[in-house]
Amino acid sequence: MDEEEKEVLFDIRNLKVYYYTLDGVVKAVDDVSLKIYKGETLSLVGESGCGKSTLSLSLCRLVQRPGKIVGGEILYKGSEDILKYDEKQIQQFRGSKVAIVFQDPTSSLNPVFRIGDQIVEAITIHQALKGKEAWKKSYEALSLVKIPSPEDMAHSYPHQYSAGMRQRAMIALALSCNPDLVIADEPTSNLDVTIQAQILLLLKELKEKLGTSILLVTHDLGVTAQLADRVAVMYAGKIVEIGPVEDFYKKPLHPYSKALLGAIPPPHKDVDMLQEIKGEVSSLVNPPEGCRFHPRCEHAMDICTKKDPELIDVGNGRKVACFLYKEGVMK
Amino acid sequence: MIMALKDYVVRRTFIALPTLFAISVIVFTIIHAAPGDPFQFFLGFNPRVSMETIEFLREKYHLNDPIWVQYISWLKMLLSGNMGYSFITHRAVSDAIMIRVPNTVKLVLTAELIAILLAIPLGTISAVKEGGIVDNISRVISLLGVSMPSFWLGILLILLFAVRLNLLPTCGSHTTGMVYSSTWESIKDQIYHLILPAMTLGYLRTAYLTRLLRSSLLDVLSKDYIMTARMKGLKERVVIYKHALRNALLPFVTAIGLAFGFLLSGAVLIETVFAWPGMGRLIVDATFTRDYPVIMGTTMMTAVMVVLANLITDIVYAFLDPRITYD
Repeated sequence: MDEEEKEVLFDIRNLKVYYYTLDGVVKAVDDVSLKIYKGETLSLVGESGCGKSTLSLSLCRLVQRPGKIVGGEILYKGSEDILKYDEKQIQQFRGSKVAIVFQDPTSSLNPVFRIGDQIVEAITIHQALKGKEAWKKSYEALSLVKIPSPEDMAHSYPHQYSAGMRQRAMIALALSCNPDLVIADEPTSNLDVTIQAQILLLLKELKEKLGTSILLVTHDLGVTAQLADRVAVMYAGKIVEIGPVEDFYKKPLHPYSKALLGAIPPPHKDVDMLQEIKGEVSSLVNPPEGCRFHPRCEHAMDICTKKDPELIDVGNGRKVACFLYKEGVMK
Repeated sequence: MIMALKDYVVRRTFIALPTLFAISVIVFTIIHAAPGDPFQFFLGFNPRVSMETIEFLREKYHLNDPIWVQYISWLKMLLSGNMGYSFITHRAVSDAIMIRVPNTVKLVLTAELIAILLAIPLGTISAVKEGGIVDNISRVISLLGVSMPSFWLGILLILLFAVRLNLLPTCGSHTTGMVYSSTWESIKDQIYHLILPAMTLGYLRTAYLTRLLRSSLLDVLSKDYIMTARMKGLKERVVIYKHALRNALLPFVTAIGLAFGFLLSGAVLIETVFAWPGMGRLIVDATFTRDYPVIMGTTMMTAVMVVLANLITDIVYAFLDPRITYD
């Protein structure tokens, strides 16, 4: 599909999110530009602490102190900058336009309220529904995520659900106000493998059924391969590569992406040693000069230590931030 | 729910019985192990009372019997509904307790109420605006409160409000010998007397409860479900007062309930400073004079109140936290 034809849901431009800690300013998201299209599943991958969760929270303006969005724009449907919304506007925006499914379903639902109460609460603030109507809508949301006998289960408390069911309920809560985008932040990391597969399948089905865009935040390249249409790779607060999922797995461009994929054990083959990425993740307080990956990069050149590479278009909807491509060393 | 509750209360009451029995055995043993007995204390220093008289009295009150015999006769008496008679005043122990208990309960409940009403807003604001002005001021006030001896604070308050400013009475639970023209006058007089001791005790409790609520709320605010609540688009006010506070109050409620025992004993000092005619002073006086029946009676009464407070705490807790059931 041609990029220009797709409707842009979110246009993130030069976003900067910093955490002001005692150790210094942590540049968790540093000058990131990214488009999220309507109906697509975009997977944001990277190691822990690379800023992917911070980036996703910014879309709801939920970055918590000491974090702060210090610059950039987040344009919603091409016109409104949600960073300019006042308190009331952003509250109306949250839940109804963007919703988040968090990583740990045991802690993301309030233990003292019934599941139904928690869904109804969201429905009543965003839709002109009250009482019975709102409850009816919550049953619908629960049956959508295949919770058995939703009329009864809505009146149960989170602790009466299994972990997998809780994550389904969380997805139901997220979808209850028909948002344009659901952010799934490591939605399966805390679940058993069999439950993981069920939840992934559910997300896939729901996306096809409802046409909701999904921003899948994960470090799991397997999950990404199953679910995503496009992949964005983040390293130390920056996006280093973005492109369609098939191309990414067939031929990763950025040296970091290559290294990431190299660290996955190939199926059907005995491997004694997994390939590791040498060195440590660069500090977000004092990131290295030039390209942030250069101290760990096998192909680092002189220019990589001096200048910060920009994302360049290499065709087929793929972009990469690496001088190897700009200088024509690699194609 | 109601049936389950009834079963639960009955079950808990039966569980409490062995506890109360154990308490009675331990207290009985300890007070008899302590040196001296009532007659030695009252008469032993008087040269005109002969050893024979003391011995006669000890025999008369069965103080020479083996301790287990004494215990069993005390227990038999208690089970027949009689708490015995004071060695010193010869009044029924139950009468003395019944006069004193309402005073202590009045003092303790008022103090706790003051503490709860102050601690909830102070603790909440301190946690929500962590490091802000309210947080810093309440930190100082709380630290003073937990480090100050209660009797010392009581004396200072008497000096300021009663002696210097002459606004409030120094001691007692009502003006002695006063004839009230109306019930309202009587209530007003009692409230005047209650203010200083209740404020002293209440301040110490406020200090503790504020810190407790603050830390428990800070803990809750970092939980994922608070992010979920915000993500839904709820107003910050709803997030704090509905989603966060409801969870943060759980340890708070436990602390209030468990503190009841502490309060009854903590009230001893306050009651002494303010000459408040409560249980605390009854216990102190009885201990000094080795008035065994009174000591046993007051101790058992305190134990029953603590057990009752714990039971009520558990029931309230089960209402607040759906994860707890009566099973």
